[in-house]
Amino acid sequence: MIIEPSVKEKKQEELEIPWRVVVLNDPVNLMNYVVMVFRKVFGFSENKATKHMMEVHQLGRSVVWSGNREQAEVYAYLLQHWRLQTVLEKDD
Amino acid sequence: MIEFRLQIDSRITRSVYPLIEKCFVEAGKVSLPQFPHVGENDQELIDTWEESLKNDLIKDRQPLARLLNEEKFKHGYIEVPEEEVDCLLRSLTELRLYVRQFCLKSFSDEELEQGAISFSSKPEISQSYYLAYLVMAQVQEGLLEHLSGNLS
Repeated sequence: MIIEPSVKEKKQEELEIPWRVVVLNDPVNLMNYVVMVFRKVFGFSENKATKHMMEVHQLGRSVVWSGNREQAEVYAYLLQHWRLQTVLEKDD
Repeated sequence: MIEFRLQIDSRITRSVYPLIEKCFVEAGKVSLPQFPHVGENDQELIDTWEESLKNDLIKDRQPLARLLNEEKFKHGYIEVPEEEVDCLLRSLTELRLYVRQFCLKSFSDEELEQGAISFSSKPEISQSYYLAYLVMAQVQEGLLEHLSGNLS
């Protein structure tokens, strides 16, 4: 007999697997605004923030952080508050 | 206090001011970003997230409301207390996103991103909204210039 994991167990599993915080491109936000947000939210250097901004601009998306779900949610919230298009993905 | 002058003819700022004001009022009524995990089914988490974000964005709007009420703004002068810069940047972004979504439908993403626009091919009202969009971007540029000195 297969025993389904409880909701609590599923929740715990979700918290433990790594998550990616992904910023998507949009045509509205200024490039230097995006760099400034990355520096403020993650404490990135100017070069690192610019690298991620260029990834967003040229490739349409950039993985700006990965790690546990709780912290990923904190970062995603901050980025959405700055109105950057952000999604959370499981880091399979 | 951060003070600067927009690099745009003040006649343009004055002419698009009513549009900015109108969009500011309307932008407060539209939907917010959604919870960023598409497959999430914890409704309580989603509701809490969206409610919290909504409250934060309402707080951000207050400095922009003050700026728009300043007579100087219509003449291209910007005066902002340093502690309000972050809120102002966010609320200007909110407003520009609103203008893009609802008032610049005749513009493609590429046109907006590259700034290569065939202006005369656009409806007159879209041209005015685009100028309003540029005025707000100029305010952001001025604030970002100030912040870049503080971050380095």
